[in-house]
Formats: sequence, structure tokens, C-alpha cells
Amino acid sequence: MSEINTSIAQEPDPVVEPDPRLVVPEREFTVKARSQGELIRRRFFQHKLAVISMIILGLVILLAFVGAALWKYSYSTPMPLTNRGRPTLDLIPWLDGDGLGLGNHPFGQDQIGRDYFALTMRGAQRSLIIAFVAGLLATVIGTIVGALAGFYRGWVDNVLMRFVDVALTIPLLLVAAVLGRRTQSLPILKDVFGANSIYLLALTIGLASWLSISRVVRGEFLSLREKEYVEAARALGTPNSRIIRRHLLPNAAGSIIVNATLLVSAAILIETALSYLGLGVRGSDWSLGKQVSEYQQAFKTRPWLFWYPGIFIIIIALTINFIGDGLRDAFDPKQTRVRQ
Amino acid sequence: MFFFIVRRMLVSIPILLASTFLVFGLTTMAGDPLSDLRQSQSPNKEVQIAAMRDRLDLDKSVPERYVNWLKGVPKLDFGKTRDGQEVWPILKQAMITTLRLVVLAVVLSVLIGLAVGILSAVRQYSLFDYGATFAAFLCFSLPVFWLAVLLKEFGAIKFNNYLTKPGLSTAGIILLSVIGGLFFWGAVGGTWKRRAIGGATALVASFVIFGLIDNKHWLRNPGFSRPVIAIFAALGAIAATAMFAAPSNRRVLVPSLLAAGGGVLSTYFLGDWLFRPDWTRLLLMALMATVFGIAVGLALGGIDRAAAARASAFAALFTGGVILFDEFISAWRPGRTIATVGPQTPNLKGTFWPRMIDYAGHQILPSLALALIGFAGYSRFTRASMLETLNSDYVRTAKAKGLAPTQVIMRHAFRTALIPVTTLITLSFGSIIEGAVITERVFAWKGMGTLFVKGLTDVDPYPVMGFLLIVSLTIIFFNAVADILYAYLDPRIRVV
Repeated sequence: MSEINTSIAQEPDPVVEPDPRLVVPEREFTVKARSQGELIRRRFFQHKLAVISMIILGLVILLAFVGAALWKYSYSTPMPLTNRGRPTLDLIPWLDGDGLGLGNHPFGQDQIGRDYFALTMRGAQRSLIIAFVAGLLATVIGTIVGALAGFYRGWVDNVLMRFVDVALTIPLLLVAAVLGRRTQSLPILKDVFGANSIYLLALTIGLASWLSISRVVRGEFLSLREKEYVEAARALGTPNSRIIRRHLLPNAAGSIIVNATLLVSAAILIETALSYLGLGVRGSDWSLGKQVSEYQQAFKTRPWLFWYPGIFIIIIALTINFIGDGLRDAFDPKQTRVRQ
Repeated sequence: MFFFIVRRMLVSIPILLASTFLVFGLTTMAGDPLSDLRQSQSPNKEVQIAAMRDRLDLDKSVPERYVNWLKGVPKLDFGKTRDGQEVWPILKQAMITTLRLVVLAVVLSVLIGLAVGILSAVRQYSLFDYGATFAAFLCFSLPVFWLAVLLKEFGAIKFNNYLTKPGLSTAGIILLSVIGGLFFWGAVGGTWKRRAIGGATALVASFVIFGLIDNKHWLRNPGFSRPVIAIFAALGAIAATAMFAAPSNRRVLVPSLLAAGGGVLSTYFLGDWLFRPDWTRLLLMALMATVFGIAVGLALGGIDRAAAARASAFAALFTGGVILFDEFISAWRPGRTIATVGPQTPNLKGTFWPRMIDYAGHQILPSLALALIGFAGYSRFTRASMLETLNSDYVRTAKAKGLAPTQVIMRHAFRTALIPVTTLITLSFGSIIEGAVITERVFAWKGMGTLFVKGLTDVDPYPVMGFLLIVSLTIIFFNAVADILYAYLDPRIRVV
């Protein structure tokens, strides 16, 4: 120890340089300061697949909401069948047909003559709403529960996490069946949501899928709350609610957002599964899942009735998954972009 | 360890009680079990309603009925269905059916998922990696029953048509060869030149192999001759050596090859045991192969006897697998093998292998539909976990001290990477059973899922309870398995 000290002491004093903050740099833009948000955005936009997915998802949303509103046919009016309702969409001119063109019924017609493009767009619209509402709801509930459990620990944590343990064993189908049936007999639910509301379905899916995210958030909070800056904030007398909002939530935002995207894409698939078992969208409304399950028998005679909604489900789920992957890379560059 | 697991089990009992009670409450709440009888026009309506009330104990309160049900569970009395049948015999049958579906799906998805995950981590950012990533994401985004319907259409109708007249066209051979070449081009590492050579070799090799297959009409009458079995066995022995030691390690390679050779020779005198086996015989043969392999390894392994024993046992078992696979495919005759309804042909008679062919034909599509989805999760998770360990210091040390690459990957990196993967696999068992609900319905299997959905729609609580109890017990059991595996995989974990 003493040797080191003396050696340091013997060194000549360094030349005092002027404070770098006072020196005007010769070229201003050699190094640019970037905020954390900017860095994340830049990393996200470097992930090509995620960016392409975002564009495609944007187009699908635009098509489902704006395109369907501008389209000449409504999804519920039957029309006389032309050419057995075959799709008139023609994207590959060198194979058959008259070349690139939309035609009258680009996705064809179903067996009673409804325009299938309008129907699919209606389904996509509903499915997107269900998925996003369910995802948002699950994220909010899961984050609140996880944050409370992870931050307060002790009995709060015990109670909440044992509840999550119990809830994890309850099958989603059961919750969906009970909630779906009970709407008819419980007037409050009926008044709030309407008899066959898709929002009720979204609520069901959301209520059944927040469990995983609550565990993730709890884990993040358990480690974040021990960090020095939280201790510093506490020493300054910051109230708990402010510590959670200002210090913990922003730091846990990465994993929350990534998990939220995964929840949205899972919700699309859950909706499909529920529709197949007759527990999904009811009544005269449509969703992509309901379309696929209604028309699975038509596969041999009218395959397009089965293909188009299925392809839209896959496009939506796939693009959301890729966006989630891009976000993961952006928030946590260590995890995937390792050089060997 | 034992006490730790007992403690874990004890903790799960209150959770089990709470969740069964909740589910019981929810199921009874799901609707009015008498609604169909109330609307019936039959003259003895009142009598029927009274009988149903009596059968389902509807006069008692929900907690009372729950306690009654709970009292019956230790005696395997799971209550009665609405039709007055005992739940337990139905449940037992359904369990066997679902188990068949789920076990094969899990085995398939774990094997493929781990292999693909390891390879895409080792060859990160290669063509293979990108392909595997895209495939996994696609599988993540597929609705199960959409996939199942497609499989039913193409697998059952188009592929069955093909199976009645199997053969390879020239275009098919070229396509398969190109796929094989591309696969190796992506999977081989190193310089551009090396990869190109690897891909070209694979292309030519697969062209020759597929050409031979077509030329000999092998697909119409499949089966291996002994030399071909011997080649596979030798390859298996080399792979086992590479996995458990280094491929150049003679002390391990020689006993592995001997064990594989012993397996090939055993076909000369096993005769009827191979041609007309049953499950006990198969189990005995597997046991014999393992013991033989371990004995050869221990006797000839020298200082590497531990690794030699493992590798030889693996080689012997692998050879046995190849021999049984040969018996299996030899029993096949061209025809519409792939079935889409139910788990087996009803009233099927015949010897072991034709029965297995029938089982396989029924099982392949539903298991595939389930396995594809599990595969996505496992391969992504294995890849991430492997990348983490491959970039850690001890792997660099292992490389630096000159260990063979396979040894570094399998013994040092993969073993550690397996720890989180084990958790995922064991935890996903429960959710796969739930996922089987849909697959069972598409393929008309009368398994647990069918039982559950029927119970839900009929407001019949006891079958639903049976389903839930089995699934929960499975989850608890596999949690315990995960704990034991942790301790085995990670020497630092020593739970008391």
C-alpha cells in the first residue's frame, strides 16, 4: 500500500488542462449526447424485421379500420354470387387471369353472397380491438399487482403471489365460459357491455392473462428496490408512491413493454381458440377466429373462406411478435446482440 | 433433497384446495344444470328434475357439495356425471388417451427444439439461425386449430394419396437435395469457402441418397438391411463419443463402437422378440442394452470409463432404436395410413408392429400440431440460454485449454444452459395439456380436453373437477421433477 502511495506521490503533477466544458470543440458534432429514449429508438430502428413488421401491422390496422369504412360493400349484406364467389383478387398476372387487379370481390364471397373482404376486415377490426384491449388491461393489472408485491414485500407480496399461484391453475376456458354465460343473467354486465359485446370477451381474456406479467414485474421490482438510487430517494424523504412512479416503473418499462406486446399477440390466438370452442365472439358480430371456425367445413368447397382470415391472424400475431423482439433488443442490447 | 421436495409438495396443498374450490364454484355458477329438463315436454318432467337434483346434490349448498366431493377424492371417487356415470373410469381412459398425445408431442418438441436451439446459438447470425428464428416466430403465431385443420387437409388427404403410391419424382429429388444442401450450408460454420464446400457435399450426398431410394423403390417397401443398420449404429456411436467426450478419444470411441456392434449382432438371435414384441419385452431389451453398454464402457474405458460408460450405453440404446425403427417401418404397407379421427382404429386386431403403425398413423397429425407450438418456445429459449453460456468466461477457458468444440458445447455450455430450459419444459407440461383441448377436438380424440369442454357446456361440475385435479397434480409433479433436475444439473444447488 505504502509503495503505491509513494509512487503516486512521486509522479510529477499533471499539466492542468482547461475544463473541457469551457472549451469550444472544433467540430461540434463529433460526439452527440443522446438520451436513453433516443438510444432505444435508434436501436429499435436498426432491427429491420421489427421495422418492416411495424409498417405491415400499420397497414393492416389502416386497412381494417379505414379501408373497411371506405369499401363499397358492407360485411352483412348478402349479394348474388358471381362465379361461385371465387376471389377476384389477382396479384400474380403471369399465372392466370387478367393481371394485377382487385376486381369486385377481392377475397370472394361466402356461401350466402356476403362480400368476404368486408367481412374479413370487420373480423380483423374486432380481433385487433379485442387483442389490444385485453393486452392493455392485462398489462395494467399485472403491472399494478406485480409492483405492489415487489415493492412492499412481506404480507402484501405473500397474499398477492399466493393468489396468482391459485389463479394460474384455473383454466382460461372456464373463466370465459362463466363470464360469457353470466352476461345474459347479470344485468350490470349487460348494461355496461351490451349482450354480445366484444369488450366483455376482451375483459375475459385480459383477466385471465395478467398473471405472467405480474410475476415479471414483481421480479424486476424486487431487484430494483435494492438499488442505491432508490435508497438515496428514500433518504431524501421521497414518498413511496413517487419512488414507484419516478424510479422503479421507468426502469422496469423495458420488460413491461416487451411482455405487453407478447400479451397482445397471445390474446389474438386465445380469441381464436375461444371462438373455436364457441366461447368467443357471439351473435351476429365477427372476429377472425370466429370466421376461421365457422368456415372450417368450407375448406374443401370454398377454401378462401378459411385461408384469408387465417392469414390475417398470422400476419397480425407474427408482426406483433417481431415488434416485441425488436423492442427486447432495443431495451436490453446485452441480451441478443452479443458478438462472438 | 427429499425433505425439500416434501416441503414443496406440502406448500402446494393449500393452493390445490383453493383452486379446486374456486373452480367448483365457477363451474356451478356457469349455468343452470336443469335448464334443458325444465324446457322438456315429457310428462314425467318433475320426476326427472327430482332425480337430477338428487344425483347432483343440488339441494345442498355449494361448499357442502365441494366438501362431499373432496371426501371422495382419496377413495378415487370423483363423483358422478349428469348421466349418472362414475367419473373416475371415464377420467382414467381419457388420461391415457391424452397422455399418449401429450407425451409424444413433448418428446418431439423438446428434441427438435433443443437441437435447433443449440445449433442456432452456435451458428449465431447464420442462414440456419435466421431460418430457425423465422420458423419459431411463425409457430408462435399460428392458431392451433387453424394449423390442425390444415394438417388434416394436407396430411390426411393429399399425403394419404401420395402414400398409396409412394415414390420420388426427379423434381422431388432435386428439391430435397437443394434443401439438404442449404441446411448444411447454413449449419456449417467457418469461412465462406468451408460452408460452400459443406453445402455442396451435402447437396451431392443427398442427391445420391434420394436417387438410390427412388431407384430401389425403397419407399414402397421400406426397411434397412443389416449393413445399413450397422452404418447408422456406427454413426450413432461416433456421435455419442463426440457428445460425451471428444470424437478423437479412442478410449471412448472403441467401447461405443463395440456396444453398437453388439446391438447389430443381437439381431441375429433376438428373432421373435423383435418381430413380435410386447411392452415388457421392449423394456427388457432396453434394459439389457443399457447394462451391456455400461459394462463395455466400464471394462474398456480406462481412465475415461465414466464417459465411456455413458457413451456406450447411449450407443447401444441408439442402435436398439434403429433396429426397432427398422422393424416398425418394415411393417408398413402402402395405403392410407394417416387417420384424422380418434386415437386408433376401433376393434383393431393384429400383431405388435401393425398395431403400432395404426397408432402412429392416428397420432402423427395431432402430435405434430401440438409439437410445433412447443418447439417454438423451446428453441428460442434454448438459443437465448446457450448464447449466454457460450459467451461466458468458463466456456472461453474450456476452448482455450484445447477441448474439442463438441465437448465445449455439450459438456460446458449446454449443461449450464439446460437449467433454465428445464424449468420451461417442466412448467409447460400443464399448459400443453390445456392446449391439447383444441387438438383433441379437431381430431375427435376422447381425451381429457373433450371431457373438460363437455363438462363446461353441460354445467357438469365433476368431470371438470377431475380434469383440473389431474392437470394441477401434473404441474405439481413436474415442479418437483424440475427441482430434482436442478440439483443434478447444477452442482452448486444443494437443497436440504
